[in-house]
Amino acid sequence: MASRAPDRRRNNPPSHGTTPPVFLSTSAGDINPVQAPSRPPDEIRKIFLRTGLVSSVTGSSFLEIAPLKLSVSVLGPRPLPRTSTTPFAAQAILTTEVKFAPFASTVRRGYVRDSSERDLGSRLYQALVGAIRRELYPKSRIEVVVTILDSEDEGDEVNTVCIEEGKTVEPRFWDVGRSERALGVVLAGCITAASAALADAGIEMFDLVSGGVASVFVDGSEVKGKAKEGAGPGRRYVRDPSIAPLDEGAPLATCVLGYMAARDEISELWISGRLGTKSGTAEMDELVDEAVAAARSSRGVLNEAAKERIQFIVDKAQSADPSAVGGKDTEMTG
Amino acid sequence: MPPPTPLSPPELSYLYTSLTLSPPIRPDLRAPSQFRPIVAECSFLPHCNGSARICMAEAGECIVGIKAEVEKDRTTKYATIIERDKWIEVTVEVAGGGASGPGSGVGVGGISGAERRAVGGWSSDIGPVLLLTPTSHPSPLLLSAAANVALDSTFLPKLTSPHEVDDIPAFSDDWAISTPLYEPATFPRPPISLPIVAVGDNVFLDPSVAEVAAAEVGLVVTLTLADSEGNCDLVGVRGMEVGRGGGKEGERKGTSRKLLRQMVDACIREAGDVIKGLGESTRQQMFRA
Amino acid sequence: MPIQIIAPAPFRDAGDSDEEGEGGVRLDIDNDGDIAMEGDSQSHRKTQGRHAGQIVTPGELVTDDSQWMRGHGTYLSTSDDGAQCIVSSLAGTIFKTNKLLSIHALRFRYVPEIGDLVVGRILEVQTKRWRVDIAAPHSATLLLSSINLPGGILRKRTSTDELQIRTFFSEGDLLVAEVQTLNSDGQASLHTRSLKYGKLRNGVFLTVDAGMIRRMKSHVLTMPTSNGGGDVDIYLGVNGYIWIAKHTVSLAEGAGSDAKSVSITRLEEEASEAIYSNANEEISPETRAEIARIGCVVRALVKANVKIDEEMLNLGYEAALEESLVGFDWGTDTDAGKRVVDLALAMRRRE
Repeated sequence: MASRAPDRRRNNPPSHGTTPPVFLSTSAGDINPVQAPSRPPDEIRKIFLRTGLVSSVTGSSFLEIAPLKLSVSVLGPRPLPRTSTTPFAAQAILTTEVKFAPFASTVRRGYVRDSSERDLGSRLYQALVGAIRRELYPKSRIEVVVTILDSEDEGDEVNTVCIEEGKTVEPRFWDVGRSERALGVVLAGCITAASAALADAGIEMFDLVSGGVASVFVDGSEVKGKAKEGAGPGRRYVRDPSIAPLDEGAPLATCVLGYMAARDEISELWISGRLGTKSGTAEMDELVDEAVAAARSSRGVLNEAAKERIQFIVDKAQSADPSAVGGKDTEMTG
Repeated sequence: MPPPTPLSPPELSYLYTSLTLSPPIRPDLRAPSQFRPIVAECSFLPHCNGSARICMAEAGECIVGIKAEVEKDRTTKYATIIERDKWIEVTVEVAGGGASGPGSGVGVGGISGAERRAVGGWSSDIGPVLLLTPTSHPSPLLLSAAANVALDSTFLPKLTSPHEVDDIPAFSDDWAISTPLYEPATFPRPPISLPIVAVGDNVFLDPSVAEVAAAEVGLVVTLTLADSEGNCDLVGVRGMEVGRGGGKEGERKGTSRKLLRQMVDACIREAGDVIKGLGESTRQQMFRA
Repeated sequence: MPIQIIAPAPFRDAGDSDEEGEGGVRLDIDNDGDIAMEGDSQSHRKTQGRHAGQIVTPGELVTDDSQWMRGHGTYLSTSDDGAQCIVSSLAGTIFKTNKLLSIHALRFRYVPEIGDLVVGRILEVQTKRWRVDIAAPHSATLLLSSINLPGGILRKRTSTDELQIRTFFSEGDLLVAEVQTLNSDGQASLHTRSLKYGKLRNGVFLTVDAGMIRRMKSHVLTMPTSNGGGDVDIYLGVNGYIWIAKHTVSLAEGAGSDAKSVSITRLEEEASEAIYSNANEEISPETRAEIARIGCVVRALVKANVKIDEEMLNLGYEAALEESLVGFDWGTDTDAGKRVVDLALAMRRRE
C-alpha cells in the first residue's frame, strides 16, 4: 500500500497501530478466533447474519464471520437528482461503496477510500447488478453502502512469521497472495450481507447472491523440499480459509465468487494464484466447485436471516393484534 | 467530448443475434478465437528499466514504462537483498482518461496479482500511459500486452555491494552486465490477460467495444507460460463488466459453470501462442538493438 | 496463430509511400477530373510553381495572380509589393474548381452544410428537441416539429407528443437526417420530414473520418449482394457516420413510381407508429454475413486512405468476392484488406 499523506485535520493515532494489552483472564478463544483446528476443511465458519438493524435506511444487515464484522445499508430506490448532467436511466442505477472503518485493521485506514476499497466496491457491483430487477425501477438509484468494522488483518503480504522471539528470522515460506485472500474473504462477506440487506429493503431480485471462498493447498506431506510447480495431484481444498499464518504453507490459489444458487449461476468470479492447465480447466473446476459449495452453505444462512426478519415482523403484528393471539404465542417464547 | 453513448436498441439486438448464430458472425468477420493484430515495440524509453508501446486498431495505444527502485522493506527495517524467494512488487497505475469505463483496471488487476518475481529488494512501478482511447475504455488486452512486453524487456543493474542487512545497496552502472528480469528461456514468462465474452452459447476472444456491450458474461483470464512445451498456468480470473445489452429479460444473469469452463478453456488454448508471439517479437527487437 | 504481432514499421518518407498516388486525395487529378499539371496554361505557372494537388501549409503563398478566387482554407493578404495574394490557412492540398482555389485538409472535423445527408446519434432528450451527435464541432439539434409525427405529418404537435418524446427517439438511437438550417455559430438543425429519413434499424453502424466520404449525388445506396444476401442499403453520412443495413422497401418507394418526389400529402397517410419501432426485421444469416463483408470493405478502404464513393464500394465488394473471402476467413487474414483494396483499384484503372 502506498504511504498516505498525513491527515492534518485530525488528531492521528500512530499509523501502524499499537498492540492492545492482552489480559490472560479473557478466554483465549475469543482473542484468536481463527480457523479452529477442529473445523473440517469442507465446513465454513459460523456466520451471524441479521437484517433490519439500521432503522433510517430502506434495508440493512449486519454480518459477522469470526473476526470479520460488517454492516450493510441499502438506500433507495429513490429518484435520481434532476440535474442537467444526470443521464436518463431506463433501469435503476446501482451504486456500491465499500469502506473499511479506520479501526478495522491493524494498519489504520484513511477516511478517503483507497484503491482496494474502490476495487471491492466495483466487484460487489458486479456480483449484485445482475440479480436485481433493475428494469422495474426506472429513473431511480439504489445505493449499497458497506462499512467494514473489523476484519482479519490482511497485513503485509510478505511478513508471514517474520518475527519470532523478538528477532527477525527468515520466513519459512512467502504467503504472497495473503492480502488478496483477505480481501476475497471480505468480499464474500460483503456479497452475502448485501443480498440480505437488499432483500430486507424489499427490492425485487431474480435470486439472492451469496459469497463463497475456497483455497487449494498442496497436500502437507508433499510440501517439504519440493517445488510447488512439480506437485501433482496431492491437492487439498479448504472452504472459507482463514487468513492467519498457516503452518502447512501458502495456498496455491484462491477463488472467491458470488453465486445465485436457485439459478446455478456465478455472478462474480475472482481467482488468483496459480493453477496448472495440463488437464484443461480441471484444476480450476474443482476449486470453483469448492467455492460454490461454500457459497451454498452461506446461502442457507442468508435464507434463514431473510425469513427470520419477516417472521419477527409477522409475529409482532400478531401480538399487537389481540384477535390474532393464539397458539403462536407459545412458539414465540420458545 | 460527450460521454460515450450507448448503442441503440436495434444495433444491440442486431449484434446480439449475429453473435448467437452458429457459426457466429462478428462485425469484422473475425473467427471467435481470433485476436485483432497488434503493433508491439519495446525498450525505447531511455530512463526506464523496461518499456513497451502497443497499438491496437480500435482499442488505442498504450505506453508502459517500468522503473525499478530499491525499496525499504516494510517488514524489516532496511532494504535487504535476499537472493531467493523474494518478490518484486508491481504497482500499476493507469494515467490518462477512460479509466471509468467498463472493464477498466481489470487486466492490470490480474497482472499485479500474479506478477511477482524472484529478484530481491526491488520494487517496480509499471506506469501505463494510454495515448489514445478513442473507444471509451482501455482494453485489458492492450494494457496487459504492454505490461507483458515491458516486463520481458526489463533489465536490472548488477548489484556490486555485499548482501548485508542495513546497507544501502550499490549497483554497477555498466548496462552491459545488467541482468534481465526474465532470463531468456526460463519459465514462467510474464503473464497476459485475455478478455473473453460470451453471447448465447458462443465465446469470443478479444471482444470489440460493441461486442462487450452486447455480451452477457465477460471474463478476464490471466495466464502465464509455464514450460517450454507451451503449457500455461492459470494465475487469475476476474469478472469483466459487460453491457448485457442484447439479451432479453429473464435470460442469463451470471455464468453457469459449464460456460465458465468453456470460456477459460478458450483462453488456455490461445494464451500460449499469444505469449510466445509477444516474446518472440520482443526478443527480435532487443537483439536488433 | 490466433494473433498477429507486428513489429513497428520505420517511418516512411512521403516520397516512397504511395507510387500509385491513391492516397486520400488523388494528387494528380483535378477536381473536375483532368490531369492538370504539366500541360496547363502559363497562367497556372504564375501560382509560383503551386498547382492543384500540391501540399501547402498555413501561411504559405498559394498565388498572387489576381484571376483566382479564394475559397475555403485560404485568406487574402497583401504581399511585399502591395499586391493582393491568396494565402493558405490550412495544411492540405490545393483544389481548384474553375477559378476557385481552395485547400482541403487531410483530416478534419465535419462542418455541416445545408442539405447534407447525415447519420447521427441522439445524445440527449430535451423538452421539445433532441441533441444529436453528428461528428461536428457542435452537436446538432432536432426539433420535435422537424420530425414526422405518427399519424399524419402535418398535424400540429401537441403536449402529448412532448411528454412521449422518448417514444420517437431516445438516447443512443441512430437516425438519418438532412441538415435543414445552420445557425450563426455553425450549429446544425436537422429534419427528418421525409420518409427517406428517420430511425435506423436492421444493420450495423461504423464511423470513418468525415474526409473519407466523397460527396455524391445520393448518399443512400442500395447494393445487390451475392451469396443469397439480397439487397443491402448503405447510408453514407457526409459526416463520416455510416449505416449498413438490410434493404427495406421504404414507404416512399412503396407509394408509387415517383418515389423521388414524395408529396407531402401522401406522407400524411403513410407515416405510422412503425417508423419509430425499435424492433429489427427478420434478417437471414446470409444477409448478416454480406453486411459484415461490406463493413470490412469500408474499413479496408479507409485504412488504405481511399475515399469512399459508390464506385469504390461496388468495386471493393466485387474484389472482396473475387478474393474468394467466402465464409468467415476475412478476419483471420490480416492482409486481406490490403489485397482487396489493391484489386479494387486495379479494377478501377481498367475501367
